[in-house]
Amino acid sequence: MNSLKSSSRTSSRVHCKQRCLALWFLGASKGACGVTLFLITSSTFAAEVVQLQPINVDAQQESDDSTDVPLGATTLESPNLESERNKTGDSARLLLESPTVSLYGNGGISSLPVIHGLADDRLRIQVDGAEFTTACPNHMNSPLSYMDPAKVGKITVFAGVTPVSVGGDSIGGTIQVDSPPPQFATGEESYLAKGQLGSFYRSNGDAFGYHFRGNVAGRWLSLSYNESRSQSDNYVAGRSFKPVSSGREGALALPGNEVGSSGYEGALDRSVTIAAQHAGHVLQLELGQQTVDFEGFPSQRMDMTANDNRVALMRYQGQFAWGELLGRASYQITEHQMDMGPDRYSYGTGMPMHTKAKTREAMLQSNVYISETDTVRVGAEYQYYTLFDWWDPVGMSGSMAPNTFWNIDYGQRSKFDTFVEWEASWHHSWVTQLGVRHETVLSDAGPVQGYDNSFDDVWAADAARFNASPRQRTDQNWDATALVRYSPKTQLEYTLGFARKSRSPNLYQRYPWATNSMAALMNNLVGDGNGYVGNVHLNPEVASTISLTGSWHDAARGHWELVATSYYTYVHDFIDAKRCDISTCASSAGSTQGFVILQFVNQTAQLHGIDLTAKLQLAKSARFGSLTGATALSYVRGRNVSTGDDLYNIMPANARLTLLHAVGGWNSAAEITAVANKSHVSQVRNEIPTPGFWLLNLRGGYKWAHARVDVSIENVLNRFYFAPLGGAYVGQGPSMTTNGIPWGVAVPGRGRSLDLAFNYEF
Amino acid sequence: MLKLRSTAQGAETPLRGCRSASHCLPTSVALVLLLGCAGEGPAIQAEFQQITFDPLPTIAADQTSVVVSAHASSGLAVIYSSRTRDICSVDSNSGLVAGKTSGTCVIVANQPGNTEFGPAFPVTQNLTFQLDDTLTFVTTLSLSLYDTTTVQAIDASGSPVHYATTTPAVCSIDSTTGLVTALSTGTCTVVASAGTLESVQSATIEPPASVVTAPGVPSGVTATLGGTAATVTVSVETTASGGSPITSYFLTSIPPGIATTSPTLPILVACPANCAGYAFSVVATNAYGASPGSPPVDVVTNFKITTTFYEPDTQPNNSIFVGHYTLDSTTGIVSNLHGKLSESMTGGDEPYPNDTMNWLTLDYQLSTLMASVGGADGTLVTTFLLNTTNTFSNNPAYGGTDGWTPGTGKGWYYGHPGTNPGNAYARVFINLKDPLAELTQAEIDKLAYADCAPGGMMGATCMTGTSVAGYGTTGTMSGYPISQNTEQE
Repeated sequence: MNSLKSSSRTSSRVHCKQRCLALWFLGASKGACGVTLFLITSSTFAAEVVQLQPINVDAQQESDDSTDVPLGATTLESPNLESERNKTGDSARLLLESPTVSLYGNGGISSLPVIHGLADDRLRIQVDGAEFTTACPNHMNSPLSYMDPAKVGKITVFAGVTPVSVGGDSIGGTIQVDSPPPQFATGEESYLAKGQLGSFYRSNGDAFGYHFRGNVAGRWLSLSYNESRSQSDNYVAGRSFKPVSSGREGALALPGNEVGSSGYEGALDRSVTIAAQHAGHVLQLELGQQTVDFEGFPSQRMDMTANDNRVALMRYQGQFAWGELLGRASYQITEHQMDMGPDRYSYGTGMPMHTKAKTREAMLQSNVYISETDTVRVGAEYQYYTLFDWWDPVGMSGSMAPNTFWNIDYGQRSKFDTFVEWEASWHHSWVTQLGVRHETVLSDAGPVQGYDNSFDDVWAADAARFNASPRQRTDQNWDATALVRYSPKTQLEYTLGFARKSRSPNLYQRYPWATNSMAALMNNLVGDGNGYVGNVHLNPEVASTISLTGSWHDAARGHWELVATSYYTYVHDFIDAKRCDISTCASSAGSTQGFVILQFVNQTAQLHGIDLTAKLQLAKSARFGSLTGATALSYVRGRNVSTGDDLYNIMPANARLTLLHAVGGWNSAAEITAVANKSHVSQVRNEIPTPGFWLLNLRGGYKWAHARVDVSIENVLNRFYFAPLGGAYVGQGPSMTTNGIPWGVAVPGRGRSLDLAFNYEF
Repeated sequence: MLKLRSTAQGAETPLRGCRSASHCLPTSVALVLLLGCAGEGPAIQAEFQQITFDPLPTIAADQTSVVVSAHASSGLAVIYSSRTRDICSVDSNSGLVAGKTSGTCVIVANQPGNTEFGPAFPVTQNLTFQLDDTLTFVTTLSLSLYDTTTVQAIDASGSPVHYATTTPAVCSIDSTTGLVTALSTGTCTVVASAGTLESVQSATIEPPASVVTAPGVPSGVTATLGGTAATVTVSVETTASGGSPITSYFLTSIPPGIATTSPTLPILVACPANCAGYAFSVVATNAYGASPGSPPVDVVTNFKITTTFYEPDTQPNNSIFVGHYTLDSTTGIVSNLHGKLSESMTGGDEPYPNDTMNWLTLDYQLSTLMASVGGADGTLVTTFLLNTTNTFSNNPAYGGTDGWTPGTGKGWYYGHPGTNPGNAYARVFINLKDPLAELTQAEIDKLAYADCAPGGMMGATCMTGTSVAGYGTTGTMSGYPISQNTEQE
């Protein structure tokens, strides 16, 4: 515990530095509002800091307290994350440690989490508190791609029944990924200087990367710098799954087992964080930039040829006698480009596509301790998101020139949320939580144009129809959550929850307007190879979820544990898809094979399932250490009630069995993952079934006082499998045509890989 | 092209502020308003505009032209086009509509927009033309007793013409071919009819000369396939009788092998397997002897051909070539392949033949390649939009060869990355021995088209239709040939 003091002189210096950094960061932009926010917020905070009396805080200790798990949540923290985060460039993969989460395959570093069958925008994903927004018609730059795994300190997953204080504009749950809290000098130290350096190598795909973290801090001021970089070639599957052929005109042939467009390079994540603490108040300013030079997407028809994301994030946490005050403001600018990568047909000119988006966000939350047993959380959030999505003209004449194609021009989505939540401990056995949240979501988009307005039936008619239609939509969404936890004894817990959650359509579900198949193929959020046309008239999804969790364990949770969760979700106005039946995209109405053109539509869906985790310490001795068995099983079923169809990309039943051994600094694991065949597939999308499979993984690592080495062999037996949620393989060949690429091939999983990771702390 | 309000970056736009009060949430505080509603606006203007047709003027019967007028709310000039090109054409700027035949003419008004306005939704106007067609004899009836000659009348609208005589005691006439035979002296009157139209022509049949002889050499002899590849129909335009009724016509082939005698014209004769390679000569006979044989004539037939390429990405529209050609079955020469090729990307919701696709006119038959496909001898005949074969890139670095062979040059246009000449072509397969035979799959696989005109271009890639079996790849938009139908004209 540290006693912290501050002076007005030093605070002013810090404040000036923050403001200058903010101005430097935003200097290239004319976005006046972001600058204004920073100046106002910084000034306000600076005034507060100098007036406060010092109190003792230790944020690190609080964060590490394993009992501090929010109601309805599961957390993943170090050291459980250490092994995985050191050897991947994709932060979403860390979520696989949670039994409730699976992943949509989406490029090398941009996988999309799925909770209980609901994915992507149906989940609220917060990175260091900020709700980053994707800016891409293929959702390539997913929120988690903006945080390198090495930077992840803690992951909190709220599945299904999510407290209103952490979930809004989402129906599947909330994922909070946080970097470690800022560290300050403690005890007798007047300053702190430490760092971390690590690197990884993955044989399959010849992937490698490094990360570095440096931290210099005094008792009240902390400065840290993070940098990481990674890259990978295409990975290979366990065997050939396609003919040996070149993806691009005249290029070398890709081997039959190589997954085209699966590599990435130049994934660079840099951030500077300045934090100040004083008398129970912590203010943190982070300036970050994440760039990617190239990222292939085997389940999309384009690759990301550049992505530049800049973030300014300011967070405040203050402890008062009456409770806690939390504040956050962030400003995100994303510039994104797509084109055909080297494994795809180029059409002689490629097809450059651009997206530029800004997200401004502010949040203020107060946690009021109205009694020793009751806490009321009251908060308000605001987010304003603007999107420009345009495609350069290509060719000197023809159907894709001479105009710039505007897929979405001045798309806007603003949200304003308020919530109140009451959490009470009625008895040591009972905890309840009730909350209600209201959200106003306003969406709009400007008029558009196609490549050539003289082509009536290709572009002009669709554009004119879209421009003539009313496009502004205002949604009033109400969420409510009720949670009860009953702990009759220390070895037993039951948690029952009900939630009504709402989510408004995103801009790419409402506003893509072109029915031309080529243009529609470029709008795809799920990696099924199909084309999508927007629907301005979409209503918000409203999900009602009931969930029951039982947890049986020994008192210390060290020897054995069994946790079972069952859930049922009914979604009114679920945004699914129908075969496009308008204008020129009505061709694939009845086809049961091949890629098709679809349009988003509101329907009704229901999902149910069960998650089961268990662990048992099998043996333990001082000499040989501990031997623990663990298992996780998951089953989910999703149906479209309106059509009788199955929902898209529902993870088939799967199980994981792990044998863990730990002695001293050594720990190892042998893991078997088994996945059933995916036979329940979305017929409207001509989704591709995948056969069942099982894999064997071996992992080991040794940790010294300041260093750690991890070695693992993933897919030891080099078994071939198709990733059930990997999407359709469209990673090579002619992208602009619906079926120029053979249909029926799913994206295969990675073959055997030897992974090495090294981490050193100083 | 619409003017960008800023650079293509989209975000360097000038301040526009809130477009309306509703863009800013009323419950937001001032700071949030600043945060959310300043600094951006649409990158393009694309203001809304709509087109309205003026009331249609009354079109009188037989009136062949009328001016339509439409106005865009933007004040920009409207562009007109015809969706029923067989019935009417229209001047794109003035709106002057020219009727070609009776029927409903559909005129479309477009306004593509400019730097301020977005494209308007196309609007159509229907006009009904009631044109009085003409039926005119193009031959003069002149013959002596027992002679035969052929009359021909043409209907301007293209309707089939039928013939009859009002003087059956003087002359007879074949209702289909117009072949007139003088039966006795007097006035011969023939009537041509097409629908409600009629045209009449008369001639006086004179007595024969005092010296009666064998018939003269049959003239105007033509031979065409007789509706199948194994029959030939031989017609004779005129035969001088020599003063005695013609009793028969003797048909022989060159080379020999086919011979027949017929009392009437035209002569339908069967060939051993097919009629390819044969020419024919006719001898007329009466009671006084036989005429000299007519000069041998080739079997020359006109066909209409419709070739369809399935286009999965542009349904319900396909790439369709509708063409015509002439086949000399005697020499095996195909000539005058010409027609029109649809640009399926430009089509609306109505499929062919009620489509709204743009059609390219292919008039230059520049290639005829002998081919043996699946055991059938034939020719691959290609007709072009331009009077050159330069279509695809001929750069070897791009896989180019001769600049047009299907499947070469990566489908990139000729001269890439320079100027695109904008050529297009259609390749059809013609079975020389049996042009009416249904194509085998192997023959269908050899059909191809290319469209490097603006309506067929995606980037530098021309829209093409080919099969994997025929050329190693499907078309650049996945189009491939599915059928070719041939009709004898």
